[in-house]
Amino acid sequence: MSLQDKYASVVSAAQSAGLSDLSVQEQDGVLYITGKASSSAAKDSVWNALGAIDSSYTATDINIDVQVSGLAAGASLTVATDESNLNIRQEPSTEAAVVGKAAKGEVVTLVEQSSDDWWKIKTADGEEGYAYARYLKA
Amino acid sequence: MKKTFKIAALALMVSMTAVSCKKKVSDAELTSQATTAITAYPGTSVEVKEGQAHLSGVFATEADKQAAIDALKKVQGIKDVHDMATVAPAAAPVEVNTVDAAVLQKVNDALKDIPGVKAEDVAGTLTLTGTTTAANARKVKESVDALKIGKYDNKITVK
Repeated sequence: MSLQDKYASVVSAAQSAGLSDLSVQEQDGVLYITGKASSSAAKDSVWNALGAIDSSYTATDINIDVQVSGLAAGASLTVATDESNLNIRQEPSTEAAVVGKAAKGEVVTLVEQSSDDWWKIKTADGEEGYAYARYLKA
Repeated sequence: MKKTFKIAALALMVSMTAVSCKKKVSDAELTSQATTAITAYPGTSVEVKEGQAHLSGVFATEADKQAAIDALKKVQGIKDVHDMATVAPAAAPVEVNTVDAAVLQKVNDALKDIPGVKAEDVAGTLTLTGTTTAANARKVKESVDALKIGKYDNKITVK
């Protein structure tokens, strides 16, 4: 059974999520699903499809690189931490100084999507810096 | 003797009729048979004119195209196959990153808020170990997959 068959439901979720630049390629024993999502919901739908097959999310024969991208500056983002506050840092690194915090559920404003994992944001109080993108829902 | 001759004549007639029947297969009928022969290849089509098949469209691979041509040649009544089809350009290979200090740093950033999971570079292969929840394992995979490092070793146990 090819990886495309094994992960057919994930591929089909990616196709119906309206991703841009979607590519599905099998290479050296890994199925790569790459694309750009316009919202967190679209990205999540692909990952949920994987969860239905691999409930522990530990498969390494599939690589899903679906990033929320192309968001306009000024877009509203919701802080989606588990419980704690989201650190806002001076530089895009966990080593950088914390310049502010945003509470779970708080709505912040996007300044720019600096990279896949770090986005520059601004809080309602005017605190500006880099936050880890995993904890921001678009 | 007479009877044998009669049977032979009948057999000859039947076979001749069969041959003449084959010749009468219309282009429309051949087109239909030919189309059935290449249904496995979406985006392609075939038309038969005066017994000559004209294959067109875009095949995923050269091997697929050759297989379609061979299948068409097997259709009785098709005299020749004219290959007017093309092959889609091969997709650029996925760029796989090697595990270096920068990649490891990004993995560790991703693991910062996920207690119990560790990342190590074991002989050039990123190896994840530890025990965590499915939700956290998903966060780890989302972050690691974004780095596109090819095959890695995921030994995370989900409780």
